[in-house]
Amino acid sequence: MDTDEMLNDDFLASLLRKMPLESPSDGFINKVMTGLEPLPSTITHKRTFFEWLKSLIPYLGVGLIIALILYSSDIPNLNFIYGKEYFSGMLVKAFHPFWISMKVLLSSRLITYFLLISVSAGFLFIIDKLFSRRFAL
Amino acid sequence: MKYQDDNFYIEKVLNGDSSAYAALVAKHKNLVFSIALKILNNREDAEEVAQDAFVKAYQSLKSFENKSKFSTWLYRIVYNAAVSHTRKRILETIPMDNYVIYNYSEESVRPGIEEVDENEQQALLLKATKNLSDEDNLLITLFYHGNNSIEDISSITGLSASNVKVRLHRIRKKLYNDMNAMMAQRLN
Repeated sequence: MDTDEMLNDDFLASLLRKMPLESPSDGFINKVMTGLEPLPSTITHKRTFFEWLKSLIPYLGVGLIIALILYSSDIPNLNFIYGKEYFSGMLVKAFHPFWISMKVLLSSRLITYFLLISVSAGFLFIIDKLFSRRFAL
Repeated sequence: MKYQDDNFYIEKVLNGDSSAYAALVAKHKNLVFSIALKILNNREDAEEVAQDAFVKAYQSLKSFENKSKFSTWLYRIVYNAAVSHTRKRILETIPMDNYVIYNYSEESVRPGIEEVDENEQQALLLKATKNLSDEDNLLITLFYHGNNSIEDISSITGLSASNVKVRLHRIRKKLYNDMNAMMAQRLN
């Protein structure tokens, strides 16, 4: 009998296959499963329209702030922007009571410092919210 | 329990259903544990190594490229883990001269063994396998229980295919010889 024939010897093969294998303890599968960490997602996640829209919010926010700055600025070269003069005039009028009250408030050094810190912190917080992953609608 | 093909569970796991991995563990746990046990000779160590091998296979499942069978890949992981655990390679290429060549023909031995009932055959075989070295028992486990091809075993253990083939051939000869000797002892 040559090697190949020997390896295909069904008699011994069937006897050997009937011999039971050693098995691990009863809780083995649970032990393995509790030791597993979540597998990183392997599927390419298709973005929904809402998710796409949500991703635009930081850029829209920044765009809006830039537009507001440009519209309300006194830079003469920007006078070509349609409606800028009207907008600036309206803005000043609309915020007139606000500026008056601010002038009163800022007369106090304590309130000035408080406003400086809180407005800066608020600004940083908004920027962080806009551009970090924590942003959610 | 009847299990599906390994790829069925692998696909489920890769699609986010990690619980499908439990079926793969259940399907292969005995063989994986047996491989580790034959190398380590200690149930606790073998269980720990087998457990780690399953976890490692799970974590690397994405990199499994279906170039080989999942089982072959898994057995290679557990084999390497167990060998690393013992800090030595247990399966070294053994020169053929180191094996005892038995001076008989299988054809003359086999009919005698086939005559006894199956339970006795099993008992004889169990005793004969106990006379084998752990390494030889490991090859038997991989070949007969794991249904691995010579090439698969070569890939798992790092032995050359021809070496695996010759060793398996001689293991069978030794088994027949030992079974025959035990039967002769009984008759006397």
